[in-house]
Amino acid sequence: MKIYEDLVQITLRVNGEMRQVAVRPADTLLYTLRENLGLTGAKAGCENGDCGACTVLLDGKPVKSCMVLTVSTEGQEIRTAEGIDDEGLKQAFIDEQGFQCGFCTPGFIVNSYALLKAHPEPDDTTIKDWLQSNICRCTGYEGIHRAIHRAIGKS
Amino acid sequence: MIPQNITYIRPDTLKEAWDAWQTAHEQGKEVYYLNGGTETVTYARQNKIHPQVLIDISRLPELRQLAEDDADLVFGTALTLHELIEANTFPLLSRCASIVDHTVRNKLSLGGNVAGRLPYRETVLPFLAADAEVSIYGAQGLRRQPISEVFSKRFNLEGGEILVDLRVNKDMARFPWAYVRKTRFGQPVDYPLVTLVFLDAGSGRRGIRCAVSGAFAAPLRHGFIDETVNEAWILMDEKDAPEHFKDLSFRHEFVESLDVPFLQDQRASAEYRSFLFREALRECLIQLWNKYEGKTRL
Repeated sequence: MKIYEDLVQITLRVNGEMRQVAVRPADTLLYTLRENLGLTGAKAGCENGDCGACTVLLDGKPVKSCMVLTVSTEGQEIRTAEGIDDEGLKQAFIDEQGFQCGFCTPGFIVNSYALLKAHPEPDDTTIKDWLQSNICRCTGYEGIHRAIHRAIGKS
Repeated sequence: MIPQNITYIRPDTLKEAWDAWQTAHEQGKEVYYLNGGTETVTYARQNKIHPQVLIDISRLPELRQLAEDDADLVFGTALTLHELIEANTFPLLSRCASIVDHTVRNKLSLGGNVAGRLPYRETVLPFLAADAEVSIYGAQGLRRQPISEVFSKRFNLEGGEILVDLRVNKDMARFPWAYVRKTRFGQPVDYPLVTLVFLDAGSGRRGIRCAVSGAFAAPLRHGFIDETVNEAWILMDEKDAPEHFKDLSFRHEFVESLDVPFLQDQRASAEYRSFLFREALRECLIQLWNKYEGKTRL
């Protein structure tokens, strides 16, 4: 049984590296990634599980890091936008102007990456189902949708 | 970030979890079990709850079961909604688990949904309709009870008891079903104004079981609804005509004779929910009718 109180030192596996961090048990993964590890790809948007700007992969599955306690991720593989090495996907977002202000983009990239891993050739229904997790306040959804179509087969 | 400090405990066994809860409770601390955590973490951040101790039960093997024995399918309460959908061993459950968005489904647990604080708790509906059994860990160890004995508006558990798994008879999981979910503006990712499920147990002329969420203050299965729906089905079956549903059964008189008030809040009026509920009943019956491809089942 593990018991964590006050400030605790734990090891996280982030983007393939083992990272030592001192966290409060109440810290969310989003907070730890940004404030302790300097990985600012995940953005603090709503911090309510609605906007998807903080999306990261946990054991390969996209989750909202604002709803996850850091201490609960010990032993799991965390992958942030910085650790997404799919240049084809990123280039597709550039080519199709799949972003405007860019705040939501890391969340979209992470989620799209997971989508294409799970469904290498997704149909429109699957794409829309997955992307309902993320909000673009600039409403640039068409460009994002095109970017994913362009990335299919290249990722 | 959650403002207050908490103690985080990750037990290795059910007994450790139980003991940790009792200890924290005896010390006068506000203690919660943490499963998927989507609701607990968000509510704590919003200062709606003030946990001093969180006991993470999400890795306990008993709660991670997705198994079957001779008679039942077993669903551990730490399974995520995504895992339930992927497994698809109980199709009506998979359908009911297709709520919220994809990334939340990767964290939101079955236990967190059926025992959460929000009034909808839609994944409990197939278990209510299927007369599931519930495994609970408490002072006397593990026990099983019919869901009808422990769920009334919510799971009524003693302090510190753990909802371990829900069990459904394999035959129940294979019966024909119908599902209708109605939200504001038809948005797929939104809280339901009405979610209605039918499970046709097929045992004679009164086999349809109904469970509903969103329309009332809590999910429920109601004998009067079951009875009325089955009577409508029989009439339709005798006349071999689904259009009889709308005339025979779901007029205002039916919903007015329900002894449970429709929910009224800023999302929808009670009158609108009543209207949607009647529509959902009709649509579920037609869905079920279509599953039999026009052939009567009697």
